[in-house]
This record gives sequence, structure tokens and C-alpha cells, in this order.
Amino acid sequence: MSTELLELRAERLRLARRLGVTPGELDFLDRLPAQALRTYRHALEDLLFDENGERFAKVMQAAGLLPKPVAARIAVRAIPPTMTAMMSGLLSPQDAAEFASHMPTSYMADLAAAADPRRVGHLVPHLGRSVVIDGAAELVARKDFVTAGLLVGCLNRAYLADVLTAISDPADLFEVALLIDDKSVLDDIMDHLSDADIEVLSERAVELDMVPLWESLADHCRVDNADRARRILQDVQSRS
Amino acid sequence: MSSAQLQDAMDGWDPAPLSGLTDEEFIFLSERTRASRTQVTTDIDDAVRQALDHVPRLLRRPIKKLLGV
Repeated sequence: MSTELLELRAERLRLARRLGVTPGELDFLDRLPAQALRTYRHALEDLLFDENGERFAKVMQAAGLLPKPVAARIAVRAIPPTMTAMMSGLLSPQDAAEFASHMPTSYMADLAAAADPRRVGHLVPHLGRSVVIDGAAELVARKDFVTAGLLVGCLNRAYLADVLTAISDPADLFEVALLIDDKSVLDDIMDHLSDADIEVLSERAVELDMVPLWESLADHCRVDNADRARRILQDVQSRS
Repeated sequence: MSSAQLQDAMDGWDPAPLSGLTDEEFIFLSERTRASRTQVTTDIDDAVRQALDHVPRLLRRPIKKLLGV
């Protein structure tokens, strides 16, 4: 499997969520580049936001009349996470953090799966530590690596180590790492991992027949990290 | 050309990045695009209605006024 195919699958999944269809119904898009799907999805997200922006703003204004714990409780009971995801981009980082602290992890994970990182990515580093860590763990437990990859790409370094610790299975971490948009965080991840962890990641890559992808991840790392990844991968390959 | 249907469903967005799709595929995306737009509007209306049921009585009137419902 190539990086392009992996990105294409991730894009197809995100687009399917937005269009309310199954990813299988969009199989025909596989012959287009991932960038084409992303361009269409972004245009659609913008259109949906722009034509409802005024109403979203009014709902957020109304929420401002309520104590935040009450507003958060009402949102969880009455507002679909797909909708909250669209509106949350209108919040200040401080308000976003407070609302999120009163929402259950499952709701936050649903919200994250529907969110457009272009609108809400800047809020993630301001959320409470437990909100982010529990959210990431929930996404990984659901095997929603596409959203987990987006989340990890939005994290600041202070949270990254905790989130990586929360993803206890290195095999899951491998799936997440493949789908991280912002590859510049890969060195932070590598710095956090022991050689034993990298060995498990390498074994997973061999098992899934994804060695070229594992190597392409290493290409994004510093020389010392890239060398370490390749050396351990070679050891694993020589044993298998 | 069915790409024009998607352009129409997307309020004028140029579907050139999706060139290569068949008429049938463009029509499918057009229909799903329109359905998504309708769904979001419906979801907001439903969410506002349901949310108002949970708003403390004291604040219901000013919030209704603000939302224009």
C-alpha cells in the first residue's frame, strides 16, 4: 500500500462522513488523487458553514446566556456532535476548553470525528489534559485512526507524550502515525518511543505488508531517528 | 454535462478537481451534496427545538427571542 492510497482512504472516509454515506459507496473516487477529494470536501465544509453561519452564531450567543456547565449538558442532550463540531470553531479557546470539560468522552470523540481541523485544530492545545488524553484513547479504542491521526497532529508537545502513553498498543500507534497530517510531530513521537516500542511498530509494518510506508515515515524524521527506525526494521526483517 | 449539476449543488464551485468521474458519479455526488445541505439545516432546527426544552424556564423567553423562534 502506498502513502497516496492511505491518504485516499482517509479522505474517502472523511468525505463519506460528511455526505452521510458509507465509505464503500464512494469506492468510485479511488481513481482520483486524495488531494482532489480533499479540495471537494473543504469546499463542501465551507459551503455548509457559510450558509448556516448566522444561525450557528445565534445558537452560540444563546449558549452564552447560560452557565457553561448547563449549556454543555443541553448540547450533549439535544445537539448532534456533527452540529457541535461545526459550531465549536466559533468559540474562544477558553470557552472551548470549559465546554469540553463538561462533555462526556464519547460525545467529544464523536465531535472530533466530525470536526474540520481547519476550523477547530487551533482549539485542541487549549483543551484540558484529560479531555485530550481520554478523547485520543476513545478514538483508538474505536479504531478510528483517521480522527486520532488528525488529533495527534493538532497536539502541542506537552500533551503529546501523555497521549502516546495512553495509546498503549504500539500496533495502534503505527496506524495512527500513518494518518498524521502534520508529519513534523513524528520526531516527537520517535523521541518518546523505546527501541522495544519501535520493534513492535516494525513487526506490525511487516505483518501488514506496510514496510514501504514505515520507511516513508522514517524519511520524515531527523537523521538519528530515521537511522534508529531503519536499523530496528532491518533486525525485524532479518528474523522474519 | 453532469459536472454542472455538482457545480449547481455546490453554489458555483468549479468541480474541475473531480474531472474523470462519469455522469452517474457526478449525479450521485450532486444528490448527496444537496442532501447534506438540507440535513444540516434540518438538524439545526431540530437541535434548537430540542435544546429549548432543556433550557431553564427563566431564560427560555430571551433565548427564543434571540434565536427568532
